[in-house]
Amino acid sequence: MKTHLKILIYMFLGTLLSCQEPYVAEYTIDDNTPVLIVEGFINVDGNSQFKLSETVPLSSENAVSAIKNASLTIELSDGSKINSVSHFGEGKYLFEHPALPRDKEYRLHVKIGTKEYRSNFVAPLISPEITSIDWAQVSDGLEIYTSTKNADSNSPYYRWEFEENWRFSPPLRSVLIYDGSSVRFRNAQENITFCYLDNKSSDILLGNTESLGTNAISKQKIQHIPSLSEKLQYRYSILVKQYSISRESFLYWSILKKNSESIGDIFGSMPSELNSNIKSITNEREPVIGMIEAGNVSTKRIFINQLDFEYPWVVQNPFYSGCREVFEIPAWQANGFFRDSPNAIPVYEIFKCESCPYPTDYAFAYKECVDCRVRGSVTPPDFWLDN
Amino acid sequence: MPKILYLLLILLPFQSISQDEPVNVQLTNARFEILVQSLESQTSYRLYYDSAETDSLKITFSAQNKSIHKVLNEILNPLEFRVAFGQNKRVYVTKGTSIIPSLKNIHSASVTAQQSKDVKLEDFREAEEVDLSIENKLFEIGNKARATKSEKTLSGYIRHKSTGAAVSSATVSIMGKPGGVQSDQYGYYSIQVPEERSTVIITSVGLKDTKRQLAIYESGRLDIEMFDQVFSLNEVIVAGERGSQIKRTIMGLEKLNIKTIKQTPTVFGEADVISVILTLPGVQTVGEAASGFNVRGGSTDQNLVLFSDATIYNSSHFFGLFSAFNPDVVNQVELYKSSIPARFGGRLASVLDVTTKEGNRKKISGSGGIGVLTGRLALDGPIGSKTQFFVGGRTTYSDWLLDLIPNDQYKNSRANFYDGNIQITHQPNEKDAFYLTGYTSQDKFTFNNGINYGYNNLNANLKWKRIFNGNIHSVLVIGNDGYNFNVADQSNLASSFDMKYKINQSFLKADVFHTLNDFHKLNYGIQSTLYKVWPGEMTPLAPESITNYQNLQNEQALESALFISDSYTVTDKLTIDAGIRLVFYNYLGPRSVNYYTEGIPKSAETLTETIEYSQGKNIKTYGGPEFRLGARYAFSNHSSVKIGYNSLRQYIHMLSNTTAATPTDSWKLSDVHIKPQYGDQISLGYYRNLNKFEMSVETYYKRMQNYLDYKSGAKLLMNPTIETDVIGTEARAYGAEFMVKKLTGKLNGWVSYTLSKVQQRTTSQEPSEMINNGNYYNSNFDKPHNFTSVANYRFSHRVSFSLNSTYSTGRPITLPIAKYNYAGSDRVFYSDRNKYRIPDFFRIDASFNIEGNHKIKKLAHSSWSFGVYNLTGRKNPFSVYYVSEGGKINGYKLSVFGHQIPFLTYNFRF
Repeated sequence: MKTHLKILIYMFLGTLLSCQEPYVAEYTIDDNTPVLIVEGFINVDGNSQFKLSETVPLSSENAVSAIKNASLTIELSDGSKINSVSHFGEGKYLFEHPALPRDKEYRLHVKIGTKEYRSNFVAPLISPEITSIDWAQVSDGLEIYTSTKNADSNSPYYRWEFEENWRFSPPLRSVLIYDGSSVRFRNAQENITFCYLDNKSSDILLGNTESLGTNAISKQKIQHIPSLSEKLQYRYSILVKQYSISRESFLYWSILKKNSESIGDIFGSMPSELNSNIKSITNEREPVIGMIEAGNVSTKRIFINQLDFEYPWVVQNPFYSGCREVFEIPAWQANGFFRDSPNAIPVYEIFKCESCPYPTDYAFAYKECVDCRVRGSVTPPDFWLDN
Repeated sequence: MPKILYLLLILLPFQSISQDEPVNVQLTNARFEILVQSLESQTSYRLYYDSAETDSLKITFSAQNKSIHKVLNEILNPLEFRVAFGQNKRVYVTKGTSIIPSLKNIHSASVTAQQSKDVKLEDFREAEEVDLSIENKLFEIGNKARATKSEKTLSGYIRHKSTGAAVSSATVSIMGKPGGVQSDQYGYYSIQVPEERSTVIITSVGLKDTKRQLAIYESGRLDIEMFDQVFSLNEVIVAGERGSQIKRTIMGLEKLNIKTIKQTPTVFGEADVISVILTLPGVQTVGEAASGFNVRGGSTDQNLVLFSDATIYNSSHFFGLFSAFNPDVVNQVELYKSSIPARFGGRLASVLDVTTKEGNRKKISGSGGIGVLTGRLALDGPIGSKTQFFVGGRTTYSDWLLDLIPNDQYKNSRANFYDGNIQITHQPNEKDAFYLTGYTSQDKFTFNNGINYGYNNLNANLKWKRIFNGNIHSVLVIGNDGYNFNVADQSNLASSFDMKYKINQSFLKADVFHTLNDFHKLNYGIQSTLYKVWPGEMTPLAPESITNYQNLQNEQALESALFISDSYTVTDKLTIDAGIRLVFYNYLGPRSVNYYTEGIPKSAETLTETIEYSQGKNIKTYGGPEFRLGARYAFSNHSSVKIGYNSLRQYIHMLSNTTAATPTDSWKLSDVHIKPQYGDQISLGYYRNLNKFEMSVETYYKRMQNYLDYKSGAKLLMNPTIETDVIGTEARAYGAEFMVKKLTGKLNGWVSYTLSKVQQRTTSQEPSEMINNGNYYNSNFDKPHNFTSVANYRFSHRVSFSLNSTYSTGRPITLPIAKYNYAGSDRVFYSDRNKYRIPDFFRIDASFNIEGNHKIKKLAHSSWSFGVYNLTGRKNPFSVYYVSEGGKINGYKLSVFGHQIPFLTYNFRF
């Protein structure tokens, strides 16, 4: 509320008399050096995964710069070690290991060339079971909530991630296909109308039970799907992952969340420093971003059907805003046309005389308006269950 | 009624005299006027005399049923006065020479007329011009018969001849003696006079110097009237009091009078106290149009802003474009930035003491002005002979400007403010004076999207000044100061709310100024302030609003202080000021207080217990002594060196996590968890006057403890457990301030340069509460180099030109330096706290002031001032901010006054 007000005041002052100009800061050399980012989780239930990358300049168009030549080791408080087995692209590293003892502490060691980094030892935190995921239609969309069982002695801090998948279709449904030689009806395997999309949570979702009498989360809102969203066109699925985190970790994520919400506030609110728990051994002044946590993850998946809604759900995807028209092509020109225009997809047959045995024309539309594969995949995810 | 004798009367024919009206007189050490009042009330006689001759008389006399003739002669003849009875029951009292009130007698007594050649015409005329004769006249103070060898005290009021208003900060000194005293805000002075025959010299800004010849036998009183310097041709005085910086012991004191303030160009042409304060060395702001100011590395909440003894919690209007002080009401401004006298306390960095004008004692007069955005009017005058009033008001009509804004978001938005002052002065007798002061200000902003906010100051106090004798006088003040703000958001009914905050303080202050002798001047007293804070009440504004009603628990505290200071003149060259202020602070119930596990960060999870305290129950006590020490050694009348040490405690904190003060910054009292701020400062200075130049160098080192910083994401409003969101820091500041002033001549003004540093660090050992790993980092308002020049050139006494320039290092900023993808989103990586700086600041402003003609007998005097703010149009960045545009994060700098801003103001007085 306050930030909002301040921005308003300042915008007001700004528009009143001010002017703004581009500004390019001159950084010191050490601030021009990329900073290592370690992202991941030591999973005591087995198989941990980490991702290594480094920061890129603000002016760069791509925000990802993966580190592919690192070697990673998980070190246990009893001195034993687990080495990463593989790097499988985009800076991702996998540890293949069975379930690990929950009474040990763990830390991560990273070696990149001559530089070495090590995290603090952390005790694994076991997440309580997710008891239910509920949803409700609200005035401006749909909200999804998660609840957990009461965890007896765990940390009161929680973090969630989710993965969502949904089924959708473009506004035009094509029953025809040009198979390279002629236009014919599509068979079931040639579906381009129903596809699946997925998305991962990008907001940092945090919760705590500090001020509650119990250590149980009850109906914590984790997702809001705005009205008109395509996600609820037919059927939607969400997988909620829940982590129990330490206080240190909670503060770290809170700061990260806050810093991300306001970049360089014009009123001069101060961004705060991230307190990573992984540090450089070779140069202690070198900043590193990362919070190495250990524990397990509780997951739960639900499906939501549009048909179950109390109020109908209207879908309007701006991507398809130009798809209101279909075009026509005479049948005798069709083969040549579709061969030369791979972006034109036949949609349906047109008979311009009552007793014509064959279609006289074909309706066609551009691929973006017909082919769901432009945006998604026709193959449902492994876990997908239809109703 | 005028009791002025015109010599012309002497030439008129007089009738024979009857002298048989009996009177009763019972006077002890009374002034001559008392005698006159007594006689005139009992008889139909009217007495005519020259007040300059009689104002030093002290009369002790007792008589029953005696004739007025006998009474007057018995009283006045021993004092070498002559009494003459004239036509129409007029009585003429003259010194030394008698007046022959009948034409017949003049003819017949030419010898007498020749003997009285020392009576000059001018002695009896109300002087329209500088009355030189009064300076050559000998004032006899006290009774010669009771004269002693010891030192006597001369005291009295210095007033403006034309309006009768008090002249504050006038310097009163004895010719041939170093040192001197200054009149206080009421115009009262008190000085030790060692020799029987002395000359008192009185100087003040913008007023003609004057002097009085004394023959002082006993301690006594002399009121002095001073003239405006309107007839000076080449000379105008701009700043401060001349020569006093060498003499006084106090360091880091800047005095400005309203004339100086009015000459300085400002953004909308409205004379502005804070803008001028910012041109002084050691005073900075985070940016143009930012509310508040920073003194020697102190934060904005460490300034005690007093407006005629009322504490002003928010001293700015309109986001800081204007300050809360109506220039027509302000008499003088004093900024204490180093030595803070023991009678002030409660804030660490400075005291800004703004005094208001007193009402005209002689006639109703007024002043006002019309500017681009504001209009103001003030009216003052006498109500009877003993009472004066002063009322002033100011308002804005800025809405036309808002309507010009092309952006629809601000169309039909409204911004208003007003302020009003009232002062009533009453002197029932010559010992007592009462001052009733009131101030109110209100700011209101309505944005057309449904967000409103407003804030409001409301202050009132009553002062009683009593003069016990020439050596002791006291000032007692009781008053109440309030500040509140509210924010209402109706932009979205579902989340609409109204939030209110309020702080109130009731205070009592008793000050005694006691001159023991020529060597010791004491100031002692007590001060007590009861604070009450209503930290927040949140009300939903619509039935469908999801906002819950919430009312945070009130808090209250009592701050009491006991102080004494002595200004000890060891020798003519060496003076020592030593003061101690004992401060006690009690945080009082009713309140429920949370307690947390010791040694680890406070949070809901470390909460151990909550204790309920009943009404008035003492919850926490803080306290301790504050020391105010200073010494001055004058090498000569033209150079001196001074050293000072000060310690201060502050029990009230402004909650703000932005660089600039904003209208929704609230104040929090020290409590069980939030410790009082403590600061001390040591300073050393060298002062030298050379011809028309005054030069000074001051250096300082300052430490501050328990200054608040905040955890990230801290919620500062409507937070019932703010202690879990604050981080304690300590700060250090040091610097050197150089200043050269030229006070007289056609060209006058000052140049100052400040080299300074202010840094802070977190004191917590907890990594989550550490900033920059606990190392020192630059404070938000650290601007190492600051250069200011203020120059005025007077072409004629109607036209003058002012040129101001300011340069300073850009303020520190924490910059985003890189970006990365983490946990599913693109994020920004920041530099160390305040590692970078925004570009340097530079600005020149110019203005012309044109006075109307100087005919004294004009209905109204008017003046025009016009000029240009930011003459070079430099786009000085206020802030740098970043926006994400198509995957790239681009930086922008924003300037508030990024081009030339012309202004025009019309001022008048009548």
